Amino acid sequence: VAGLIDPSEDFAVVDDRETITYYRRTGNSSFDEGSVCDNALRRDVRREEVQLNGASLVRIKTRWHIWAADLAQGPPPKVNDVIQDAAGVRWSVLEVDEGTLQSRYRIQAVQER
Amino acid sequence: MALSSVYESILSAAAGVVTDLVLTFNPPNGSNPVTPQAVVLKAPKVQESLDTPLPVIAVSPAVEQQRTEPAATEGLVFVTYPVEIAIHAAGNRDFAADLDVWLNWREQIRRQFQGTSLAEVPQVIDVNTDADPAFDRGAIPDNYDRSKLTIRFKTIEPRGL
Repeated sequence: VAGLIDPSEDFAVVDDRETITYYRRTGNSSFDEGSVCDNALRRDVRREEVQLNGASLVRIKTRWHIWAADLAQGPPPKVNDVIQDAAGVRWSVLEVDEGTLQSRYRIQAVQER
Repeated sequence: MALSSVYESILSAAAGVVTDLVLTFNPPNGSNPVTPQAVVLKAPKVQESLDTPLPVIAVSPAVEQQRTEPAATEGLVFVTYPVEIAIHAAGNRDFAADLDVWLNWREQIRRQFQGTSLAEVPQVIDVNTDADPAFDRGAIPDNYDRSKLTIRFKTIEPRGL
């Protein structure tokens, strides 16, 4: 039945939302002016050490959920965009999944160095 | 008191040579310039907060094996010690920025060792640098620019008892 499931406003009832700024990469070294998203949800943060060609490097990853409506004013998220959290920490976008009937973006990200 | 070895002496001397270059990085965000000291380690590493701000320069035994071969002169051997000098910097998926900086640093480091001896280690009789790839592409997904050189220090030493 049309309209039976409408998750587009469900994000409003999620706890612990954060305000982030989503920057879309426009070139190798450039970004757009950023979109402020009031409804971002940060999930578990994973800190790990990766072994790479004989070197030990720290890597910090997390998964963000962003309400699609917050990003509706621009192109959809893509790999290599940047999420900047309220503390100013920046996260590079690794993967983007559209979920929950296109009402939410699930974004894997790695912290910038 | 630390025990001495030729390998450790080479690592320390090489780190000193690199540090003396006073390689300075100016972060694009306007933060204070960073002039890393080369540090001697068992293996290159970047740890959270301990190695901030980047870049860092690690001097460590290279992955390849140390070689020992007889010298023509009786009672002596040639020993080749491979040393890795690795630059770790923030790449942050920018495929253009700072390309000039890291290539310049590599070149400066290579020129310090190319075909010369090592002043603080008299056993060193020859130095060769190896053409490692300028950038470790495997580090890019984790937001690093990683660039390393392998330098082989050849010494002449007593064969032993």
